[in-house]
Amino acid sequence: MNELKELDVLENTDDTVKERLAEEFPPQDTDEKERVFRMSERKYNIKKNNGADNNFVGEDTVKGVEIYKRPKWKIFASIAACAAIVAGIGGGGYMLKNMNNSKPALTSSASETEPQSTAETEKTIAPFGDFSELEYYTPNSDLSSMQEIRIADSTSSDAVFKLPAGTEIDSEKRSKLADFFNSYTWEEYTEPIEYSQQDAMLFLYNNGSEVRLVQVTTDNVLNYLHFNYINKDGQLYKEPLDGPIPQQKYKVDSELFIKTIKEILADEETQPETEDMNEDNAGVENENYETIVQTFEKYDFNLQNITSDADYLTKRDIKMVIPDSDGEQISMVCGTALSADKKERIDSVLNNTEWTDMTADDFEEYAEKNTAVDEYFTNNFGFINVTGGDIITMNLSMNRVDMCFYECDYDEENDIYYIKNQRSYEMYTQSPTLMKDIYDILNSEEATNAGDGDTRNYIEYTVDVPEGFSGRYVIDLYIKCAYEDVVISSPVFLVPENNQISIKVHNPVKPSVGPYPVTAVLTNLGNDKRADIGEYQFDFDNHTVTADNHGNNEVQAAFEAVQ
Amino acid sequence: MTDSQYRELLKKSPQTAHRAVFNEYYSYVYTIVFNKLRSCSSLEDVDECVSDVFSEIFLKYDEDSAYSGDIKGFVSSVAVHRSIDMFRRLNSRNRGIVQLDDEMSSRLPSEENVEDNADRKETAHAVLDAVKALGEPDSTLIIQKYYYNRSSDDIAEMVDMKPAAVRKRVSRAVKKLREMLTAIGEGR
Repeated sequence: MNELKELDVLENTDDTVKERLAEEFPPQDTDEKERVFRMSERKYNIKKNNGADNNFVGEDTVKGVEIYKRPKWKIFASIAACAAIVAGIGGGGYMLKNMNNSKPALTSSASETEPQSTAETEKTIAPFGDFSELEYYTPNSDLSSMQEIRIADSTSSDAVFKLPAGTEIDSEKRSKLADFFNSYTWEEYTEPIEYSQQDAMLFLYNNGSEVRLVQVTTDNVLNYLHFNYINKDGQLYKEPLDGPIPQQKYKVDSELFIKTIKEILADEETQPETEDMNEDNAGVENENYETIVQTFEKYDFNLQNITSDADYLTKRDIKMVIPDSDGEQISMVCGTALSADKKERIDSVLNNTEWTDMTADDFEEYAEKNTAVDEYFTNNFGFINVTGGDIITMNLSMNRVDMCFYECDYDEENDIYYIKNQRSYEMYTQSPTLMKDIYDILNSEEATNAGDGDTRNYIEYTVDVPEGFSGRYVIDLYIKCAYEDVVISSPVFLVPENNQISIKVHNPVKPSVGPYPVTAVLTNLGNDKRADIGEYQFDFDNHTVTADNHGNNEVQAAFEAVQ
Repeated sequence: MTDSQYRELLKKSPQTAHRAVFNEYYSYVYTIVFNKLRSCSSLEDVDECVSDVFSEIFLKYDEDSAYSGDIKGFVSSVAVHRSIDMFRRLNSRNRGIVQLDDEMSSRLPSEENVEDNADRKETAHAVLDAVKALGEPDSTLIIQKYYYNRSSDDIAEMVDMKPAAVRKRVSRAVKKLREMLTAIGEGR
């Protein structure tokens, strides 16, 4: 669980604590802030004009509908909540009465007791009607196209049914779904239900005057809501406005339903993709792949780092100013030159990897799964090319490659790049070996030309792993810099497979201002125990490491301490 | 910002005035609202409530000139009242009608404050001190992740890091924070 209960003490708390939170840890989502401002302006205009937003457009106000990036299940939560609120407003008694009186149109349980001939001649239909006859759709998460239907005589914002738009289900698939629904043995469910939003399947129907909602919960209940509505002066109202939304519930086998529905819908989605969308998708994929691979082949790149945390480590090297941001800067490492040999080998890996198209959700799920089992997976390899005023970066982490092209104006005097334009490309793979392959290449021996090829100072910190230990470890270097502490982590390494660990540490500041005190800490990832290995002075000007206490005994002691 | 400064801006352009007051007090209002609603609402509810607060502030200052002095007190008052309204509404909805999320409702705070406020305040400050002592970016990562309940991906965008790096740093920072809290007697 992602819980940190210790922070619960911060809520419902004293004003001084709130002041500190606002001052020291303010909310940082700028998109959200902008969205809230627009909502505030809109509400203000509506209130000021006694309920009508006269399309007010101010200098900082955007006309139109807000787009919320909200998870799909949240949409359902709105619908479920609205339905429940109607029940509350209209009175639970009516709802219960309504439910008890509701009868499936024709149930297959009834047909079981009837003569076979009846079952053959009379088509069995699901209690919520024949699914194939109405143009049901699956909702999407684009709330900008959401219709709002007032469902109770109340000014409360809760008395609004938010009806999302969605993706139409083609008639063939609806027919398959109808066959499945119609053949099921339906039985009414009269107990109160607790909604489980996640993984619930939701279908909506809206013909401009009638709404139907069919929802399969994960709690073995199918929920069916339906009502009519009218348009009065541009505002939609449930008809009649009084009373709850009619609702029926039926017992279902959720696992069977969700699995079957997903199969039918997946079938629906894959077919057109392979036929109709193939050209578009292939174009996009090819563009991403070709741009990334060809660019990587064409230009020389510097390796920004070989550690998973180190995209944070030496950001001071290149300063880039974000356009329209009041001078906000991002910084990037410009590390050591990638040798021609390693570049060629990485290029070969990229060329020989099968790249696929993944949605953000798929990738998140895939990444979480792999993070737990593959110690190489979360490594982050950054590459950068700086030619004149333009900068190209390529990042490779968790089987995802993204390449970004920054077109900049370079201010030579202040050594700052002003971004004029940027574009990016990305591609994914599910290759089980990609991250390890890249890791192996970057950590492999090569003809050392550090003196010639390196554009930056760096120090190589090396630890000989003592014998007699095993497990997964990581070494963190805490570098005390003038302006902040920097933590550089080694990749996760396996013992006894690795007998020497080497971390290249690039100069964290520019220009360097003398030796930095560094503490090396060993962590055993098997039990999260940590122990100091030693303390050092890193002198980037002279490429030297001075150890206050570092030797085989200290390393041995650190490994022993974390067992 | 003082009342008179705000009114000067209002005369020139209401939108500029709104933007100014919003920029100045957004973090403050958000913190008050979030602090009240953290246990029982979604982020969308929080946004909704914060926008209610500001629309009310815009409206009151537009029509009613009775207020004077520093706006902060007024802003705070509106934020507190609107968040309590929202808290009650959400609670009645969650408890009385439909259980939207078992886990969420199980964390609803007790209606009675049984804890000693002074101790609680002291503990809260000690926790904030410990978080602060983690240093950046860890303190920001911890607060954004576990107090503001943001996803690693969202945080990655905020702090210009990779989501994987955020996850990794967060997990280490949590361990470190727990060690620190245990050392000062505030951990579990």
